Amino acid sequence: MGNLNIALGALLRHLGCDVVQGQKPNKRSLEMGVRYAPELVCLPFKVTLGDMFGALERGADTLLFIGGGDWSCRYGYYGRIQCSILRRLGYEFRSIFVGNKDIKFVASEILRMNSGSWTTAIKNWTRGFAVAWHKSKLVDEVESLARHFRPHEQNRGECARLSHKFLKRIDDEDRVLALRKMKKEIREEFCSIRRTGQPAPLRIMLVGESYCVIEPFVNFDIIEKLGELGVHAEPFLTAHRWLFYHAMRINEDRGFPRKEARALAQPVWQYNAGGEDQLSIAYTIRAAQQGFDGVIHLMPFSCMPETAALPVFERVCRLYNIPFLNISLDEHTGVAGVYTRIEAFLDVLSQRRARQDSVENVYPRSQRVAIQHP
Amino acid sequence: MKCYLGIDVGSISAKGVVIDDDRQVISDCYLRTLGNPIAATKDVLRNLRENLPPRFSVRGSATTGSARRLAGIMINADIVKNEIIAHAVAACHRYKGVQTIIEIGGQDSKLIIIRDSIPVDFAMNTVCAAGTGSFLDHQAIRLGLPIEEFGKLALKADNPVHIASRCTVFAESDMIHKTQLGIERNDIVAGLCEAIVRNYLNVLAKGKEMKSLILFQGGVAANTGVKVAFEKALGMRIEVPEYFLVMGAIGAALLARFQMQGPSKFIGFDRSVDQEFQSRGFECPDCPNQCEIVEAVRDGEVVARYGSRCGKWE
Repeated sequence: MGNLNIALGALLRHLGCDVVQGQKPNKRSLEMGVRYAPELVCLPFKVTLGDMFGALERGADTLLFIGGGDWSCRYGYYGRIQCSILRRLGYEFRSIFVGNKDIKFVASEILRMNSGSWTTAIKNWTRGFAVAWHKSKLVDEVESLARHFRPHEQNRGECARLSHKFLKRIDDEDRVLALRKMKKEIREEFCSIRRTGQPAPLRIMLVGESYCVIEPFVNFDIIEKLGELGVHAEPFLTAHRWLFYHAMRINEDRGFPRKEARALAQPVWQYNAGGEDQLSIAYTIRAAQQGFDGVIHLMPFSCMPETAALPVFERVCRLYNIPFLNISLDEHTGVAGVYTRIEAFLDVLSQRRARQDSVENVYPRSQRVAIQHP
Repeated sequence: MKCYLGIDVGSISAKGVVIDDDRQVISDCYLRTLGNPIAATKDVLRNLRENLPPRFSVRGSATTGSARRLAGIMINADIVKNEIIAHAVAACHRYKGVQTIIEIGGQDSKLIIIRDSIPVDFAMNTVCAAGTGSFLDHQAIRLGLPIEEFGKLALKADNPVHIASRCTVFAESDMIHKTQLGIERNDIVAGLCEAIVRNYLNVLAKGKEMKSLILFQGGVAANTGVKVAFEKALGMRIEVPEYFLVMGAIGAALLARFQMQGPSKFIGFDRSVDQEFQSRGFECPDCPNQCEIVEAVRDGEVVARYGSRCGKWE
């Protein structure tokens, strides 16, 4: 999922695993996933299942499943179902489920990998965790700088080139100190990109199901594509935030704590239906408050929580007067339809902004009545 | 005479118009794509040229529709625009005060909400073709009726029968079942028209405010049965514009008229029609994504490539 492999790979390597560097999700993993997954299951299941075929073929003997049975939507069962699908096809591997209920088992596994010594296990875990944390933060930094500068870059592809270069370096570097030093260098290089003089680009908030928002393979590289069209797209969740704040529940997200988000969404959506729907709604409201130009909602076709929340998104966007586009993703390779909708959406947004600007000239912002919080 | 060309190549039909400097349509053409957008674009251009005055100069050209990119490369268009905006532009320009556009074409249906002559919201049907022109086409063949008579028959119905509207497959089996019960054909046809309208309103219009003036354009607007069913369901009058079939192309031509600065890149009617144009595809072998690259070839020379995720072939 996104660049999650860099941090997780480092953590596992420090715990003494020999990590098969998985290939990014690709057309073949989708093909394999669709062939062997239940038909009505959602896209993330199919793609991740397909990725496991790739990993097993490249010699993996252990598969690690995150979210073993205690996730709130059907994702919680995915690991176990994928595991039994693979076993029935004759693949042999050890399976480890990582979830709250399996914590004892995971701990014993870690102990086993460190030849039974608790001291080494704890030492390796602490070190691995520190490296993973720093790598993940740095990856997040690279992604966010690329998102920020891409709409402005003069030579198309400059940000992509830089992020590629740094992601590789982050992946190869295992010393915390060197990682810390790299941060400054990354910032400087991104800031020195030649920029066009284009003023404020359109800003779009991406919300929805986390896999669809984070994994570029399933969302047609939407962040990069929008960036190349001169639009700043901000995902509500990144791989870093997903791993540490969301899955591990380690530290509350400093930018927008979950508790605050819940409170913001409370008036329109009282509880979480299972996925990231409540959080997504909160981010939608916040996008409107922060003056974003629009919201794009990405979800896998047949996703229960997001489908349930869809009418609420539409209502929220009407209430807060912010344009909204829903894109339901499934196994289709024809991206033309999706791009048609996105293009039209961008046209709507820029015309809207042009009109707002003309209103601005007649009535300065200070004289206008603020939109009431419902 | 200065003129502007707009071409709209969709999945089922290809449309083209030429407008003059005063934005009046001087030539228009509508024909079926028949699965071959390249041949259809050429045919459209050939037909358009026949109705043009002897002396003219094309000052701008634009393409739209699902094959807009291909058609744009073919004629070297100045503007390539999505069909949602093209339809909105045409409607706003020809009808002041339009607030809602219903567009039902061969393979998709759209709802565009307009306020103060600016599109502010839109919806487009998802991957499924239920509730579009091809569904009606298919049922017309099954009933042994020419599609052109569908509307007239629907108007003669006394008791339109209820037909499931959610999915084309369900609708079809429902319809067959009702025919076998011996229900009159007029009532079945009217039922189908109502099913399309119900499907449209359920899929696209949920949560959208449809205000008058409502325009109904696209191929299905030819079917008065559907128009009447819409009026019945919404309780509002619906206008079908004069050039409802080619509104997308008119929108494209208008965009060319408004946005052109400098000379047009259009390669001319003769060259467009006579060229040997091919598009061929191959799978890029360089990474596991195996992108399908499309290569456009004009007279033996590669003019464009697109379709890769990484952008290296473009």
